[in-house]
Amino acid sequence: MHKAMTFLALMSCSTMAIAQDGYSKLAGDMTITSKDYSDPPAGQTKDRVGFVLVGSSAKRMYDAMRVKPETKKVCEEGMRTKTAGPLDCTRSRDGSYTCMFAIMLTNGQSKPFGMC
Amino acid sequence: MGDMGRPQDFRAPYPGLLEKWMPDPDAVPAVTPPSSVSPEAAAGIPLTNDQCGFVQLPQNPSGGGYYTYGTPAHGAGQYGLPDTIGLIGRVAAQRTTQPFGVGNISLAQGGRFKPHKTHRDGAGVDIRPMRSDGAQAPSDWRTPGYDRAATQRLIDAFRATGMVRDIWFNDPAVKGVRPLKGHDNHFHVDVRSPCIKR
Repeated sequence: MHKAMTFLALMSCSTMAIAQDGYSKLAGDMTITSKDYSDPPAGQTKDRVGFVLVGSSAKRMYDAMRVKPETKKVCEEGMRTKTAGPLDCTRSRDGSYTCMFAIMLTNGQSKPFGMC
Repeated sequence: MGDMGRPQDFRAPYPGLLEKWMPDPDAVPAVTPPSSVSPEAAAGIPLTNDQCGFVQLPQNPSGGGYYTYGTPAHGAGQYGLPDTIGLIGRVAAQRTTQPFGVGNISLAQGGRFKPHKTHRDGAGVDIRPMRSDGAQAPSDWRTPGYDRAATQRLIDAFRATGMVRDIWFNDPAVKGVRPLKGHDNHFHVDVRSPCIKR
């Protein structure tokens, strides 16, 4: 019962967060980074912005992606990942959502971002 | 995650045990690696939160067999389960050649570690592939300077502990690993621990 109430409350909050015009607040972080962001060689140019979206905004994106989630080649058991080009959205084992991507600061092209 | 992410003294979960391989600049480097799990776990005694709490990897120990790298600085992303830290120490204690590079593990309190999808539970650790020039610098299996044979020996050493659930790395010529997107300039070791229920 308690779990059901919590779920309904969360759903209610989630719904309330989306305005009538379809927009909702973003939650997440960004960083100016480079190609090998996890372990860059010395001097590598920071030429892109990496985005990490979380929470209801990431869930909205995940749910809206019309691709089948990958469940086998994922970072951990129970994880589901949807990929569309460089856009990567994940539902973790604990039920949290994350979307990651990068945008080149030189030409606006999108690039993959994020890692296991 | 609960309160399992509380940082602790490195030796606390294994009193008297980790000191056997803890790098000590004044000590003769004859060490005995710890067992793969704590004595309590081996005896079937349930682990307490303290035994599953995070401990920080000793930073760049002198003669420790490994070096540290990565962000955030000062090892802020190098907290792990005692089993994870013990595994690194155990492999490091066996090293007779160049040290290996240890990168991200988890944050002190666990939880989301950007830009990782995992690394939340202290049971995953990123390791640099070995370099032929011995430099403590980034390495990628697709670029010159990568030392495949040394990397294979390092992976074999991790596997030989019996404490490894999985290793992800994309060099198709290396055995004992599975490919997964993004694992070119590091391999990810997923550590087996009684603290993690999967």
